[in-house]
Parts: sequence; structure tokens; C-alpha cells
Amino acid sequence: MSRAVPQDSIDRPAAQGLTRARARLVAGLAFDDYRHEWVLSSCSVLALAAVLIPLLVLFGLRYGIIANLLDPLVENPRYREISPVTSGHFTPQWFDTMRARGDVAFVVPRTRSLAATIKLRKPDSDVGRIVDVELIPSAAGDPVLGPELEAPEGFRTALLSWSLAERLGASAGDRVEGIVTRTRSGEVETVRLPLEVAGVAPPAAFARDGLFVSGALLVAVEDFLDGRAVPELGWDGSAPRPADRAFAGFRMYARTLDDVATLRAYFLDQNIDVRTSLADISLVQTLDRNLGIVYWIIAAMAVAGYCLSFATSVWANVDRKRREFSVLRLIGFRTRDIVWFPIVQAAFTAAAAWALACGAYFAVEALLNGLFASSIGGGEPVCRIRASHLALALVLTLVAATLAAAAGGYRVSKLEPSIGLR
Amino acid sequence: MILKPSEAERFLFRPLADGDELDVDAAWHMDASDRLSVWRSRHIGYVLQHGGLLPYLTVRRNIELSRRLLGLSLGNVAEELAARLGIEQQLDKLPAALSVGQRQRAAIARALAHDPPIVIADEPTAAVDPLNAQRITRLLARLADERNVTLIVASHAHELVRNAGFTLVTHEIEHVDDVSMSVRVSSRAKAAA
Repeated sequence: MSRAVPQDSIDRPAAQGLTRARARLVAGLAFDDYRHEWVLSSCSVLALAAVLIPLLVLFGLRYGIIANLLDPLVENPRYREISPVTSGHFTPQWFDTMRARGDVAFVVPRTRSLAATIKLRKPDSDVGRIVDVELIPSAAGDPVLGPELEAPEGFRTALLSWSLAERLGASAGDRVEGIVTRTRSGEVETVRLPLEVAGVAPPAAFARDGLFVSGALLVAVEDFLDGRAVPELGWDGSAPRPADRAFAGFRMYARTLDDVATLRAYFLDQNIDVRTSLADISLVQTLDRNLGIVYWIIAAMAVAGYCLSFATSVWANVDRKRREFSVLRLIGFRTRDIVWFPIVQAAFTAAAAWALACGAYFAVEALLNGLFASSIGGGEPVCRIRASHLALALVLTLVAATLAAAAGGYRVSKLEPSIGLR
Repeated sequence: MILKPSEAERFLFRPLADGDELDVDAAWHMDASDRLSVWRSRHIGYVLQHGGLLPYLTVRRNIELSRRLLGLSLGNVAEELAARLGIEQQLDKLPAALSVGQRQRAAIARALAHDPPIVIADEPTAAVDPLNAQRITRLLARLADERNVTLIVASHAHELVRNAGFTLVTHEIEHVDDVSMSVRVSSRAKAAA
């Protein structure tokens, strides 16, 4: 007997060139079958939606509650501030190193606290009030000023804290006058520093009376108070400090809330005692983590149960339709074509169930937020979800459903074409 | 597959291989493979005892399925075959809406739609009454002649198939008691043999 299988007759083209058309054909057949058995298909969709809806609502509640706790921390840069407890010796090189770190969003040198206080008044004010204010070094990118306000530059502009602006009755564009007094060789010396108010910082930026000034102005004030000359401002005194002077402190903000812990650990390692809001952050993060663990355990159990149930259902469905599958094989569909049949149908189920679950979720979300609106401060919704969460839910649902349906695909792959002849 | 190595293969497979010969033993073992599926899709049409129509496709789409699978143009092949088989009114209906006889005719149309050189029919008339069985068998034989198709029919109705010009080859079948394998060889196959 001859032995040569006509290879070109078997593998001809068709096998390769028609792959895409074949995939479309299989997907179309799967959809036709899915639509034909719409009652069973609807049951599958409802079964999956019944698992997804409570998971989405639980996730929405968890996210809403945590977001309500976390948002103030994220939105207020104060929680990312890291400040030294005691004076230190921070060189320009140290600042360069810190600026280069990825977890540092902003850092500027700070002079000694005592040398960073001046008196301020508004010359044209009827009140004539003189206020002791704290000088706060600022620069471009200052997190507390936000993107709307420009950081002060040079020696002639400054930003007022909210409380200071109220106390002086000053606003952007007004002129104020700083008064700095020192005692040198037994004599009291006073200099006046005319400043233009470049803006008023938001209330959350600084709770006390403060004046946001450039680093250069802060240094000038410290030098003057230390009895040194400040040639840029025409203030007399002893020889100025060298340019590579060290600073007693710094104003620093971590890039994210998570970076606060990293930076704190770094400073502790360097024997630098720092003050942070790590306790507040940790409390919320721990709550977030614990709720997350509880949620994912519940979700994993629900999804595992669903996958098992869906896999057995798909398996049984394939068994019920084994004659139809074998007819497809007999006609000439390859195993690798028809294994996709239950998987494609599972994807239909997943997409439809996800859409249904989203609709139901939004209805429940509106109900819950309405119910708890009066008991939650700030009008923040207690249940909420982001579009990216829904997209992730779709992807996970598709993956879980198609993985479960792979059992059906395996069953299909074991069906002989000859079943159709029996 | 119910085929096994036999002398009949020279009638069946030579025309397909264009001078090459098919290793039936190898093909038998390749049954699970996809390559044989592709081979079947081109060279064999099937008429099954229960019709084997897919319940979720209309008769038209059932008939066109083999051609779609092969990427052949659909043209009006379905209409022509349906008209020859007297089921043109049923083209846009689902198989469930058809009588058993109409379903068998639709199955014949599907088996012939992609112009295979061989059609294998497994008890094609077992589910219909004798009169319909005779009509369907003759129609099948006539269409096979017109389209130059070799028919292989497994049937209990020996007389019926013999009267339709089939050659009985029962001695080639194993494991089957009273089912006859009958062959009606196409002129193309005869010429090649």
C-alpha cells in the first residue's frame, strides 16, 4: 500500500490564509449558538452578575470609605511635610543629594527659627498694626502654594499666609514693610524691607502668621541678625558668610504619602530626628490594607466558587452539544478552532454580566450615598468607584470566565468527529 | 471515520490525490489531528442519519457552512441546491422548523455545497418513510451524478440503494452486523482508476 499523504492537499493554504476568516466564522457560530440558546445564556449572565454586583458594591464601599479618609491626607501637602526637630548642619551638597531623590518632592534650606522672624506692617493701613511673622522659605514648586501661586523671588516679593493677610488686611498687589532689628556692639540697628504681596497662600498652606519669602531673603535676614553685612540690600555689618554656608534646617515634602515613611526611616538612619504625620498616614493605610485584605479574600472566594460552578456548567453544556461539535469537526473545523467555541461564549457572558453588574452597581451606589448622605460629613459619597476600577473588573471577569471555560474547551478538544456518525 | 484500508480506496482516493496516493493507515492515525480536518473539509461531504444540521443556523447558513469554512464564494449555491432538493421555501428557517425529510434534504445540500469529490451518507433515509426514502435516495444519486461525486452510503435499505445504482461492498465493513456499505463511483473516479 502506498504511504504518502498528499501534504499539499492537507496543509494547503487555506489552513494559513483563512485563519482570520476561520476565527471570525467560529466567533460568529459561537454567537449564533449563544443567541439561539438565549434562555440559558441569560441564566449564565444573571448568575455571573449575581456574583459581580455585591463585589462591585463592596469594592465601592471600601474605596469610598478609604478615599474619604485618605483624600484629605493626599490633598493636603502638610501630611507629606518632614521637618527636623532640632537644628542641624545641612550643607548645599546635602540639599543637592536630597533634591536628586525620587521620593522628595520639594526641599529648601531653612535658617534658625530665631533668625527667621521679623515684624511686618502695612504702611498705608489705618490700623497701623505690626505683626510678628515667621519667615517661610519658598521656591518654585512649593507644594503648599499650589500651581496657581508663583513662588516669591529675590528680595522684594513675598506671599502672605491666610491668617496674616486677614490680620493686616492685605491682598495681592499690596505693599507691606518688614522691620528687622538687631543689636550690634550695644547699638540697636533697624532695617526696613519694602515688599510687594505677590499673593495670599490658601488657609491649609500655613495655619499661623507666616510670610513666604525667597531663600535669598531668608538668608539675608539671618545674616543681618547675626551682625553680618548684606551687600545686596545695602545693610552694613561684618563680612558676609561664604556662599557654601550650611543651614540649620530644611523645609521638605515627600512626593507621596508612602514616601513619608521611607524618608523618615532614612533620617532616623542618619540620626536626624524629624517630625512627620506618619502616625495619621499609617492609621489610614493600615485600615486600607486590612479592608483590602478582607475584600480580596471575599472576592477570591466568590470568584473561585463562580469559576468552579461555571466550569462545570460549561463542561456539561459541551457534553450536551457534543454531537453538534462533532459535526463541526466532521465538516472540517479543526480542534484548535472549536476549542474557542465555549471560550468565546464565556467572553460574551462575562461582558454582558459585567455591563449588567455595572448598571446595578450604579443604582445601589446612588441608593447608599442617598441613605448615608446626612451622616457623612463634607458631602463625600460613601460608595464610589472609578472608571479604571470598572475597566479592571471587566478584564478580571473576562479572564476568570474564559479560564473557567477553558475546561469546556478541553472537553471539546477530546470530542471525536465520529460521534456525529454514531 | 468509518473507512478502513481496502481495495475500494483506489476508487475513493486516487482522484483526490492527483496521482499521489493516500496513506490510509496514516490518515487513520491522524484522525485526531487538525490536518485531517482540513483534508475532510475539502474532499468529503457528510449526510448524517439525524441530518447533522446545526440547530442555531438557518438552512441557508447550514448549507453555506462548508463553503464559508473553505473561504469559497457563496454565490447562489444554497438557492440552487435548495431548489433542486425542493426546500427553497425553507432556506431561512431553522432546522427545528423543518420536517425530518426536509432536514435530510438540507443535509444533502450541505454535503454537496462545497463540491467535494466524495459524499459519505450514514443511513440517510433511516428516519423517513419508505416513499420519501426512495425519493431522497434517487435525488442523492442523481445529484451525485450531476456533480460528479462518488457516494458512499451506509444503509440497512439494501434494495433501495441497489436500485439507485450503488455497488454493495459489505464485505469491507467490520464490526457491523447488517449494515451495508454501498458505493456509487463517480465517472471522474472511474476514469482516474
